[in-house]
Amino acid sequence: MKGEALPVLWARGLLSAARTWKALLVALALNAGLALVVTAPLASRLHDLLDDRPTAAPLAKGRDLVLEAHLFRAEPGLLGDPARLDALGRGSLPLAELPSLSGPLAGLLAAGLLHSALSGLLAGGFVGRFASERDRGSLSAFFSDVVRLGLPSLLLGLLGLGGILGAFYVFVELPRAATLSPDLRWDWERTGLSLLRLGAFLLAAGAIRAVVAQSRAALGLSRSVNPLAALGAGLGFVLGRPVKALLLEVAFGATALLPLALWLLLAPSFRGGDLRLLAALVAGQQVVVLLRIASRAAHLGAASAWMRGAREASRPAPAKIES
Amino acid sequence: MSSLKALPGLVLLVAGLPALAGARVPPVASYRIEATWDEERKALAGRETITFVNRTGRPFDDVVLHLYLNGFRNTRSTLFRALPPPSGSDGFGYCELKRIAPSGGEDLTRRATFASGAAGNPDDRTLVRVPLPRPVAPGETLVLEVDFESRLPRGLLRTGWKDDFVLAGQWFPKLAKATEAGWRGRPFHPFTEFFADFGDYDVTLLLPAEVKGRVAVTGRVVEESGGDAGRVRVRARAEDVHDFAFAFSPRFEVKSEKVAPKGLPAVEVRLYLQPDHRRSRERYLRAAREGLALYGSWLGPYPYPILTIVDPPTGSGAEAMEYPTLLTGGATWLSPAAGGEPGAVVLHELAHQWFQGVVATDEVSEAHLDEGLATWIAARAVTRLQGPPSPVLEAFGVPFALRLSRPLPEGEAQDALDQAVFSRSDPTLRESWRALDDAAVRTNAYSRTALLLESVARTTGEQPLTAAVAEYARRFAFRHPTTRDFLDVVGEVASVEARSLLERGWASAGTADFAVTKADTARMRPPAGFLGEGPRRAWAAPAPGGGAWESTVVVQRLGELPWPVEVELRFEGGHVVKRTWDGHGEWIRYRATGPRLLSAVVDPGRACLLDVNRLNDGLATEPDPTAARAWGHRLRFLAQNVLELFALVAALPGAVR
Ligand SMILES: [Zn+2]
Repeated sequence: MKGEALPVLWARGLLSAARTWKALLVALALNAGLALVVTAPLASRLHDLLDDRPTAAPLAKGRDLVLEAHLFRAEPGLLGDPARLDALGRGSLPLAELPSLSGPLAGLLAAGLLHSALSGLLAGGFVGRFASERDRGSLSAFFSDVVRLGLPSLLLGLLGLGGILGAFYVFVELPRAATLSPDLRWDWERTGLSLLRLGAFLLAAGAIRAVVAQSRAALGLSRSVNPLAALGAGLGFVLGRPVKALLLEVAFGATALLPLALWLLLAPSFRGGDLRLLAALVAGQQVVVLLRIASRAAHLGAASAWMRGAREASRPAPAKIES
Repeated sequence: MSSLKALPGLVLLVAGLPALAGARVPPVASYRIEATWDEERKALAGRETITFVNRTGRPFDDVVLHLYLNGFRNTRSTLFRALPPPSGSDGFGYCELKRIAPSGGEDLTRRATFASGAAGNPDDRTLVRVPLPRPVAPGETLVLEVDFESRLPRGLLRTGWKDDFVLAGQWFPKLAKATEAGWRGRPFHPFTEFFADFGDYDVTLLLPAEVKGRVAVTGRVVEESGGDAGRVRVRARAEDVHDFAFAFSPRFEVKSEKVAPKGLPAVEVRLYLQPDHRRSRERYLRAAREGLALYGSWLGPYPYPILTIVDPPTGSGAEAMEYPTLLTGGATWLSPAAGGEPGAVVLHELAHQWFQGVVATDEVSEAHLDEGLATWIAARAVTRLQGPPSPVLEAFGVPFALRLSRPLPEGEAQDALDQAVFSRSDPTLRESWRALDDAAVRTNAYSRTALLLESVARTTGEQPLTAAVAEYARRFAFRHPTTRDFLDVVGEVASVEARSLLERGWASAGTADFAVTKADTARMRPPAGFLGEGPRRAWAAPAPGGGAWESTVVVQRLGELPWPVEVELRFEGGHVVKRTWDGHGEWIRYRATGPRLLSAVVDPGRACLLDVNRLNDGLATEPDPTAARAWGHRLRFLAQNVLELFALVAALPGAVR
């Protein structure tokens, strides 16, 4: 198999990610820490509300429609402004109103943006390490790459985020009313147009993600820290091989979702009782999240390997002396 | 064609069961209507002959007619004043009186005046009063001839069209209800339905030829023939009904099935299905089949030989409506079976065949009598026949059912839960059209009444209440009972307590909320201080407790509605003590000595479903962090994955439609 075949790139990406395991643990700690901070107020509120209520016991076993309805009836602001949450749940909250969310959900949104930014910085560290021949697993080298490449990488991430939000607006928000219109004659038109909307968005988001990944890879491989030059290189690279770049994106997207899907399907849920079970479940969850983070890094690893391979192939071969 | 084939069956049925062939109720308001559908203008040009038999003890010197479609006439109608105005001309409709005259008499059209009703809206055109040249004495018959034109709006509030589908409801000038107190009729209000006298209908429709065999009607199609160019003439008859609706669409797929529940008369079920809803065909038929059997055993046999189910296209505004012998369902292309639709809606609308179709209560003023009973009965039937339904979410036009570990208990409908709080603006007994808003009507008529009935069943016994409802259905078939009549039957057949609980629940705008507000337990301390008299007085220093425990529990009624509730005290060693509190006072205190108190729970069996906050129904003496810990654990993992999603695509969760 060629060194640039998709499965090879996929495996090489995972391998490079595995070598940076220390950095991956840092990313996991960041994720877990933020999640802890953002959910702590709600968790302690739940203890206040439920701990001395024997009637809340069924909630430990999972979802309970009646009790949940009563909980939100008694504490309508538990997750934030109920009207906006309602709209969010129905999928009809305009993007522009997201900043006006309040309560734990607003906290999650803010933490998400912060996490997104920090992940952008860390991505600089990852591409720096993937471009380097030596010290791939070194944490200090990783952090010096974060310092060197973090900001341009973050800038690329922000451009990507802007692009994805734009794509969301254009493909999902704008045509929403038209594709769900009660005037459509057949039900399958509704479903078909809505799925088309989703497909167009996913395609655009995938393309943007692929460009961001290759641009970050370019950033690591070049000596310059100019994000625009890297963006140009990444864009050019993806435009030259659009299908494969998208497939790589899909492959790592699936790799990221697989552990989560398996966990949701197979893992037992905590219903109280043994705290050792809780500890084991938390550890398992961390492995799932770590694998998701790893496959995100692996995408960058594959992008770096692919781009480097392509550059070496295009370098003029040393002249052969014919005799 | 298929309806003609079914005719011999009808003849046999009529011969075999004469009691089912009409005339179970002396007709009061009968209609012979001929109407022609103008596809271009979405309008029906009609001529009707109304035969009114005055069976009251008073003379009528005028007639009052509903022109319901004028509710859609313009934005000044009482109906449209409360709704967002339609965006285009399609959303408007009207019913225009062209001529009204007693048979062979002079044209009275110019004497007609519009009644503005309690809303005092002089612009409303939905109720018209026409003085008669001569009063109709008790026992006399009045025959009126009316020419009219009705334009249907784009489907809205149970009537109208979408593409080539038409559901015509409330489409003809219709008499108000004749009562001993005069005509009872109100301008068409957005949150209320209808009320009318029983009678016979003979309706001839001229429709586009391509809908031949695809016309659903109240009653039965008795004749279908090619009329003039491009048209089909459809004649329908219905006896002992108080309304007439019809639907047609060239796309209908018609399926007919003979249903003969054990020990009950046979019923022909006709389903008019959208071709893109084929997945739901069997669910429709099964709900009708099993519903007819179940309701037949609960409420007495379905009294007509035919039941017609119309499956409207999505977005037609015609979903979930009941008319005599005809109901509309509601399904989509991908309706998941676990969501219970369209079975649940069929069971609800089928329950209306008894409560409002046959037991013809006033839907305008006492909506709880039909909607509440139908919601309650259907919720019980749905759980029994289909299992508890799962909530359905939709993402990008694809619906999917959420499987939850604990489904809704029997008798508790989803809509009851969806309403975050009960309306406190109006008691249920207030006439629907006087209520503050449609939320008040919906909560009171549907969910509050359904929960009230289920709570009464759980508190005072299920069997007595269901027996009372069955007796009410039997006694008031083809009559027009009121809330008082229903309560009387409940008091007589079930119990005085059941009656008074219902009455109180309907008379109050308040909520029920019981809470355990205190549950303390401590070791009993020996007496301390100066003990004994005179020379035997001795000082006993306060000492730590030992031995038995002393416990105090306070249960408070935080809502306005009293309800008899059980209080359950659990003690160490598995001792359980149960007490009943009538719930009338503001609070009650229990004291106990003995083993250590673990918890106190009010209404542990969940008899009072009206209790708006189930969580405060109990208190434990030792906190148990399990539930909150389990949820904290779930939420943290959820947050971790959402954060990772942000890092991955920075896409926003939730915005999935
Ligand atoms: Zn109903």
